[in-house]
Amino acid sequence: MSDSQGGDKAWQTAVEWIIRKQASPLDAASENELLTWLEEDPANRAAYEEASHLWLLTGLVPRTDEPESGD
Amino acid sequence: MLPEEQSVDLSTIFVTHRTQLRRAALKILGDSARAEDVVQDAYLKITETEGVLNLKQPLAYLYQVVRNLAIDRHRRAAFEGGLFEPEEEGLQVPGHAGTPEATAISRQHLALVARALSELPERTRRVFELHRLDGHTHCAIASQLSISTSLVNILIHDALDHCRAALRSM
Repeated sequence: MSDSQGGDKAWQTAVEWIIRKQASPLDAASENELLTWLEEDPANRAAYEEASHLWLLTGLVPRTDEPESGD
Repeated sequence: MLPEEQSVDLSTIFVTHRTQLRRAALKILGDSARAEDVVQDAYLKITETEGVLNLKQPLAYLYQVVRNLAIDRHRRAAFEGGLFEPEEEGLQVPGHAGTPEATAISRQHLALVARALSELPERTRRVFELHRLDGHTHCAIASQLSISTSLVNILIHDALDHCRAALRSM
């Protein structure tokens, strides 16, 4: 399905961080790990920002199945 | 041309339900200033992108947007807590330049992402929605769909990879 993104390690890692953050708030050690990774390479930061933006956009797309009623 | 559903005036629905939407944000954030911020942000995004999406359940959609923005804000606040000195009340930098919420939503981007998601295989889309919109854990999704947690992770990556490719192709 997806186009080949396999070579883009920064992107894959960025997505992994986004998924981890969605699962639960990062603990201090993980936060530091993320910060270190972001500072390692501008490409990492760029990938992370791209993934964050995409994450935001996907939250604005209505669900396909029957939505739960609000409140 | 536009389906009938799109003619609904989303911003009007937003305004008439603003109090309830704000309450939904407050429930997640536990902070009325942040809740207000999220509601404002949601309103901006909704007016910016009005008409792009085919909404069958406009009010449910508004709740989805507000809840998602609130959850994202909540998680980021926790993260930024480790990045910066604790903020004094009222000294927050408005908009948090550079953070996702501060990024203007392009109508074109949203349309491309909506289309990309609609192109996903049904199972991939389902997994992605359970993760993205419902916040379910990999474990919960795996057991609900009788697949492995590693496959759940792969499918979430697939969904985002596909959306990324769609944005990059324009």
